Amino acid sequence: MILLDALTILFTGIGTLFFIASTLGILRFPDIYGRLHALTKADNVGLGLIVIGLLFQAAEPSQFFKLIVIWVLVVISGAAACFLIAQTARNMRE
Amino acid sequence: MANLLDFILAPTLVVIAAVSLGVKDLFTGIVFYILFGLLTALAWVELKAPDVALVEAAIGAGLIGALFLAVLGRMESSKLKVKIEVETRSYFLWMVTLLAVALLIFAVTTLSPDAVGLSKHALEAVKNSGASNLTTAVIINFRAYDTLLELAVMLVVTIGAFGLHYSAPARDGAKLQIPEPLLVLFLRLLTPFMVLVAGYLLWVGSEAPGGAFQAGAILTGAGILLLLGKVNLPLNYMSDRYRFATGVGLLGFVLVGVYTVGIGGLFLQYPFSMAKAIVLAIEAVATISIGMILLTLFAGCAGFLQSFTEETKR
Repeated sequence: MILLDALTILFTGIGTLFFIASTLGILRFPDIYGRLHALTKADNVGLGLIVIGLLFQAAEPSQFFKLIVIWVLVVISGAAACFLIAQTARNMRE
Repeated sequence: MANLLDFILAPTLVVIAAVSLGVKDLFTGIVFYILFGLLTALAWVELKAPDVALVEAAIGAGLIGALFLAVLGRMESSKLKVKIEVETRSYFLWMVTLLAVALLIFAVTTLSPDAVGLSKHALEAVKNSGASNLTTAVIINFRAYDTLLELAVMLVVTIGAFGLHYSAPARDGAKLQIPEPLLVLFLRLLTPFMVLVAGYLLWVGSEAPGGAFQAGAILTGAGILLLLGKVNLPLNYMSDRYRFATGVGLLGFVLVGVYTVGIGGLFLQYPFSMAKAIVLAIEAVATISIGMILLTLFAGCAGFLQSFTEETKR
């Protein structure tokens, strides 16, 4: 149990670091493409690590699968939304 | 127990609400309003009200946000320039607001900490209600009449929104555009999943957070995504199917009420043996109607709502 908790703390901790770094990126990067780059890193890697951390706490298989499905959905919608925003930004510039 | 998150969340909510109302740029105001909805959902989770949190996130943040953005887009694209003046220095408004806040504080502080209100009765009755989730038991059973009237009000609002059909030709150009391939792929992946989630929320609502409003809002979300992905949904309010789907929730509710009177009970007094089936049936029809009603509101505001009869089509 202690090992599982330690793994949760480790993974969610690293995931949180990704979120902090990407928030910093959104605030500091100069243009919309850079900011999108930072944003999607939080969605993909940061949330992925937090989900991995939480998997160690899943009490039953259904929770396990739900967590993974949440991550997959966020990755898919993040990728689609990022692409659409970037494309709109490019079309508006032209 | 009040924790650190609450201490950060509560003032942040007030600040974001103030920014959303006070900012000159309407787009920024909408973005802050969506943010406000998401953080309010988080506040509901903190208050251990996951049912309300789900509705707030789906409707308060997602749907209303989409609605506002759609209206803003139409305002900007229409030739009619609408000038919005935000009046923040009206002393009268400040007086009314402060009075309301003072009354709320008075109401909360004068509550006895030991008062249980109706929760004792509700907790005792929940086993006979047909739903083990207390929120569902309250909404669909204990105060079924209120919910019925809520559905009626939503239906009336929707009938009013019918008047928004194609009142500005905002979408004529959009129809010629080729939908984005990646968006189409995304919609193909996501739409079945959203329908599945709506069904899941509907089914699980009797024992866990979920229910008709949450499921309906998810269906609406799927519909909005399809509309924005340039899928030609048949949103023609002249069609009988469309009208039936929009009104079936209220119709089902009233029929259940008539039935309970018919078997010798009071209006909407569900017999214990059938309570579970009745609750699920009402939730099912209400989900369809709520989904249709919310989608109609969005479609009306965004210029997707159609109106034609078979003659005009030809």
